Amino acid sequence: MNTITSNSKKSIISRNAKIEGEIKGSEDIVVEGSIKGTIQLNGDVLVENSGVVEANVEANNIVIKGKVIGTVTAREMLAIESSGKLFGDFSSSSVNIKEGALIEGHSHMITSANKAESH
Amino acid sequence: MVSLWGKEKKDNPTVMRKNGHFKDGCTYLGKDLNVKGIILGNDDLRIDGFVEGKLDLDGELEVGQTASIEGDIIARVIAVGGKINGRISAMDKLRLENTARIKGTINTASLSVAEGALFNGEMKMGPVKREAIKPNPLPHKTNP
Repeated sequence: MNTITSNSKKSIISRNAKIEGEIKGSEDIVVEGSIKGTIQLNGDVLVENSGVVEANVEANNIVIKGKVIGTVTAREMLAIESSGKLFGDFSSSSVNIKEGALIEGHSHMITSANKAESH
Repeated sequence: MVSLWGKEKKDNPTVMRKNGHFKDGCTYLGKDLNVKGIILGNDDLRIDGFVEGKLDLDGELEVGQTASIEGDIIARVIAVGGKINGRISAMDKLRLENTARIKGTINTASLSVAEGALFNGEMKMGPVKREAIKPNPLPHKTNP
């Protein structure tokens, strides 16, 4: 699935920006600032070291280097880097957690069986 | 995409660099992104997608041709190439490109409009006081 068209650029929430509300769409986003609310994307989410996300996040691939408070659902892969902090439950078909990462929450792996159910 | 500012003099704001790369500390919301809520901050912002809500920036705002905004906007400098439905308050200056489609109230210290721009509504010019136009916060949603 290629949601990225040739001329599309990554959306960025910069360090001194804050969004409170609902973010939807089919873009990749990089969060350096803060987001409060919900994120529902047909794309990838990267939460940078400075990023703070207080939201339920649903995306294809999710990489957490900063802080996330909320339920995280990665349809494909969830990566939590050594600087990453996740407070909340997460579900993903594949997880990659680095040493040093901080996680508090339940894990739920999406297997091909329950993936088929949900569709 | 060509910057809205095109080949204008360099004292004009450019949120985006010429080659399409962003300055550090610039927020970009792409055209397939849909944001409902409040956007705050003191970084520059470029929007190519859809925003419903309020924008309160202490920076420059570029509204791309594909962008559509429903709501109130406050920023220092605003350039519009897209569609806006709401109150627009530009502390320093406002520029409407020829593709701009605006419905609502404009409040700005300095204005420039390109031929072809559409504007329906009320215009107020003069010094803009931030306090007077501070948008009310949206009613808070219950956070899940």
